[in-house]
Amino acid sequence: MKWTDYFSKAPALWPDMAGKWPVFIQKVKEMAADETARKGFPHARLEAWRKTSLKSWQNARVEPAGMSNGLDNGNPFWGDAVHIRMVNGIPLKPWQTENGVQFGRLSEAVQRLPGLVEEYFGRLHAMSDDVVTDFNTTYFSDGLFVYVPAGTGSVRLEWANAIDARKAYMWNGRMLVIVEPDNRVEMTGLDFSEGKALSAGTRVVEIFVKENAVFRSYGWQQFNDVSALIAHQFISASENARVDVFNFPLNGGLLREEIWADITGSKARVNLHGFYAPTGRQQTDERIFVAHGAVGSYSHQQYKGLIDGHAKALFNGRILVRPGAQQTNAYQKNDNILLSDDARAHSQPFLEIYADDVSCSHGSTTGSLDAEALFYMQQRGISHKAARRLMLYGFADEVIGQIPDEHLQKFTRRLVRAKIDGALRPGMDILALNKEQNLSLTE
Amino acid sequence: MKDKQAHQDEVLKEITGRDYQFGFEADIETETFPKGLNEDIVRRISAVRGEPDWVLEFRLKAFRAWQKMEPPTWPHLDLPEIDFQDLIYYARPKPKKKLNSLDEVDPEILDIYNRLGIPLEEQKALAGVAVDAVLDSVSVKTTFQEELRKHGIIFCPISEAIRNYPELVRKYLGSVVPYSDNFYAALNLAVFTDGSFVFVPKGVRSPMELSSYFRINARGTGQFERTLVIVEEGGYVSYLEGCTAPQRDENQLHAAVVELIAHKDAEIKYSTVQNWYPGDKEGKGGIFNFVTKRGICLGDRSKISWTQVETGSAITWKYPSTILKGDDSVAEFYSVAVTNNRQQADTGTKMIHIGRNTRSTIISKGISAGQSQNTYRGQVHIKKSATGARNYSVCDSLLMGDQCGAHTFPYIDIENARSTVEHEATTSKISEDQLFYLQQRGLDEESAVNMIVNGYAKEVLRQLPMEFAVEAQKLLEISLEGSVG
Amino acid sequence: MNKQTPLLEIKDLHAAIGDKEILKGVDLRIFPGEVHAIMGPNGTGKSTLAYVLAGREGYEVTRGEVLFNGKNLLEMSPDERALEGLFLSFQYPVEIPGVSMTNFMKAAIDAKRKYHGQEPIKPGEFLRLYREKQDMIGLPERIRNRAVNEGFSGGEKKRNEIFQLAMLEPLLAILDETDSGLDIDALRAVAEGVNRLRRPDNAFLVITHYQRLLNHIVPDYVHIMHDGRIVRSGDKDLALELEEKGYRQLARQNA
Repeated sequence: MKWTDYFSKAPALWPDMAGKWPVFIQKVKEMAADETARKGFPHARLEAWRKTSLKSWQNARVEPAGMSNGLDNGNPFWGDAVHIRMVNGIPLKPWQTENGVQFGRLSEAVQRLPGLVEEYFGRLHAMSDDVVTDFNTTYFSDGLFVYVPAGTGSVRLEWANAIDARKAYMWNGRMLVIVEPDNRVEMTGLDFSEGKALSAGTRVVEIFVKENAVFRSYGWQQFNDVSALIAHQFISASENARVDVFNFPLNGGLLREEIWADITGSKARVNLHGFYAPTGRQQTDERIFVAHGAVGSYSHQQYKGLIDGHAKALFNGRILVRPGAQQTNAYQKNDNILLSDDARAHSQPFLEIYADDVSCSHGSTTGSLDAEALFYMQQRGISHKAARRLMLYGFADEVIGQIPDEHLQKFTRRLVRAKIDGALRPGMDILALNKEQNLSLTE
Repeated sequence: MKDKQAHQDEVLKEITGRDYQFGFEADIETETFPKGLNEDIVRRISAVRGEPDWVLEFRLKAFRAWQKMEPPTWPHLDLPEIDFQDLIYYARPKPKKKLNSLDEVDPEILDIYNRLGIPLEEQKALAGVAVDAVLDSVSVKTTFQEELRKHGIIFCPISEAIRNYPELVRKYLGSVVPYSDNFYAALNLAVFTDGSFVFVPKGVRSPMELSSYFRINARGTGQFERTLVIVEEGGYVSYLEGCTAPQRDENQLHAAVVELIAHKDAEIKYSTVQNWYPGDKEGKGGIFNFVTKRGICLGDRSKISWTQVETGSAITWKYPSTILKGDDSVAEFYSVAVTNNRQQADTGTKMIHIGRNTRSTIISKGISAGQSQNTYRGQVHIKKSATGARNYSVCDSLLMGDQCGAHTFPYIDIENARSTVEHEATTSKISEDQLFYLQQRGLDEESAVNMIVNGYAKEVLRQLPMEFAVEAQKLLEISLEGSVG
Repeated sequence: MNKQTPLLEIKDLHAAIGDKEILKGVDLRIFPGEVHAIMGPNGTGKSTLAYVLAGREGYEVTRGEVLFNGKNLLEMSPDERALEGLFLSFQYPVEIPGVSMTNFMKAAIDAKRKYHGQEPIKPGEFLRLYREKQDMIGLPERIRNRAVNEGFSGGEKKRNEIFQLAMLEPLLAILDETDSGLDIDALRAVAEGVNRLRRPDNAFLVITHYQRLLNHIVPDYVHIMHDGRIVRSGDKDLALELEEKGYRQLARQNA
């Protein structure tokens, strides 16, 4: 069936793929299916989709992905952490408890921790009225659940998600992460595709970061050139919470990430960073929404991109300061460099402010590599090619350098530099690169 | 030189009254059409103005398109439903007889302009301003036509231009803002009643500022003026418009269209001080100002500069834009938009770069007070052909009070790698350090705020011709009256 | 007099930006061990000469030739010229965000070593060299980890140019208005750095608007440039004469 048909026929199709869910989830899914059909496939007349082309996927015939076999070669992990392997967005192991963290499949969580799931599931995703959220809610067959109970302390989770692209599939990942107060959680997530076929993926992630907790997440997406992932990540930050998100869409036909950060507690701090470098006919979309709803909160968005070939990149950043959210400090910065005559950049740094005691600013720059700087370096004997590379590396490093963890910084730097040099091949290569370079995160 | 200074003092005196002191209603006999809009009304408007067939054709085409269009919903505005059938589309002061000289202008009309501080008399010559005044729908009197004619410059009501220079009007009318552009542009072309026409021939620099004053006087009327400015190769003109309307409880619609055409090496400077009635403190009444303004830098090295000071109107929807088509052409947009009480403004600009080495600058200063909502919305579009294009934008917002909103929505679309676009914006309230500093030097809070606000807006205000700058500065203060403390 | 081949030989050099001719026939020979100064009012082509020699884009050489160490300089790319030993101290050093001083300098040193068939410099050796030159020029340590020229004060930027000069040890250093925007202490420090770098086998071309720098870097020859040509040459006293009479009068004498 065509991907677009899954949208229009959602109310009829979803029960087949829903698995067995408790009534409260069934209800949410049923409503979402109706909404999906009502809204239909995303189209260019919608402001949010004006600059994004889904043409390659809209009419592609895709089957729902299941638990594919044969995708668990290689070790995608680096170090001393809680490891979670997933295939098509579904954890391989149904349930585990490690270092105090309880995690596994969402379908398992509704059996073991039903109260918790009911309290949190679907509580944030209504921030977005985009059809992709409804679509994902309709069709996800399972997902990842992570619970970090009070008193866990510091913990690191690494997940790796292999996408079956040996045939044309659609997959719909789902995550629910609850971080109880005072914990420190670091979560890395690696998506990669296996195979050359097209895939159409969506993911909806809901993350609750409770009082005084620290949550850091790192994401790398490494798909083939005909795969799409549209990911919506919803984050709630309670009082004095700290959230850092880093995203590196490395390779993929369309990598679209929406982050909806809802600051509900005072003095919460949210830092969002991203670096994208689409090439060929790739598209990246970073759509970042930060809502300040409490006094004295802080947010910072830093997104930079290199756009080459016929590629297209979009940054849409929004800062919303709700009435009464005084003493808000919110910043936004987007920088793009176009590397080819056919590359395109769209930058939309938005501010929407309903409180007066605030300090908000944004900046956006787009241009080519600074010719003056190139000349300056050449004058010091550095070849044009080397100077260009130094500058591109330097440009990316302004984001990568913000990663607080040294090992993750190194790993990311290698991946990003490989992408800049055109040396990053899609799929599991990310693991090969890891080994070739003898890169250990616990060196 | 009698005196620029004396004149400024007059303007100042006139303007320093509190509240909306332009809200008087003159008792002039007006001739109006019945409410509502249909093809018949469009035909009657055209007929009563004695227009040639081609103009009626333009109007009918636009009207038919308009019937199929929807008002835009994307602005950040809380817009009440407007019943377009409940408006009067034509009103004009009933002429007592044909006018030959200023002495014959209805003294009550003259009185309005005097109260507005816009002298129509020759004394204005000393200030170097030629005035075309539009009252409701009809251009009342254009001064200095003869003086300008000596230089080959045409400055007249557009109705007159249609009669006397049909070729020019036909060539350019709707060439920059076609009726298909948007709902209000279509409406305007269907029913436009008057407006100014300016033509500056090749190589001529206008020896004086051209100015028009718009005023809505009659009750329940919409105003749909249309302005067309054409400057031929190497010419220059500076055009100023001012707008006021009487204080009324009901909302009135103003849907104007302005088109600017700058040929090779030509320069157009277009300044607006918009002070339509903003409604009362509870948001009752006031003008809906839905205006489409666009210029085209048609020739190489041409330049268009927009400056606007927006203090009035209940709702403003307005994006004076420039298409930079000629190579090396230059466009500027300078804006101060003040909203207070329940006013809403969604205003900004579009810079469409097509030609090589084109440059644009956007300086926008928003000030929100009371319970108002003030939005900057702007697009910078570097088309693939615009190699070497540059844009620099600064959009700052100042918030006064915790009930208002300030919003910034830039859209930056780049399709050429050899271009540079920089955008920055800040939003904050008035610095307490600055306030305290000024108060410590003996200024009361209100004066201190005024001083800071004027400093904040200075970059824009200094773009205005001097007598307008003084007026604009006072307007800012009046508009923010009562918003501190 | 020097009997060697000249290090730099400029013959009848004409150069234009677009349609506008800026250099209208410059002749100049510089031998190893010499310090030359070019003086002249703004807009006479001094900086253009520096840029043309360094190979900046946007300048078209319409006539003449330039030999550097006997090789045709104008055929080389900017980095080849640098590797051959031509260094330009920029009047306005550009900021390069994201590229750290150390990465930048290491890349430059390694490029030079590679050009001369040497291995890349070892990190330890590099750091030692970096520290040594940094101390010699009096460049603050904190600058080392910053991006090139980013957030440097005006004085720091100029000092950083001289530091790079010390690191790369070129044969010919062109100092383009190195004194502009410097207070007297910074000026003295920069000049001291330059003087310490003088050797029998290298040469300097000092471009300046004012005589004051030449009190500290004493030139062997002074040339006065006017309207795209060198209109007069002399020894260091010419600078003093110029100071006294002004450009206009000197130019008139030579017209």
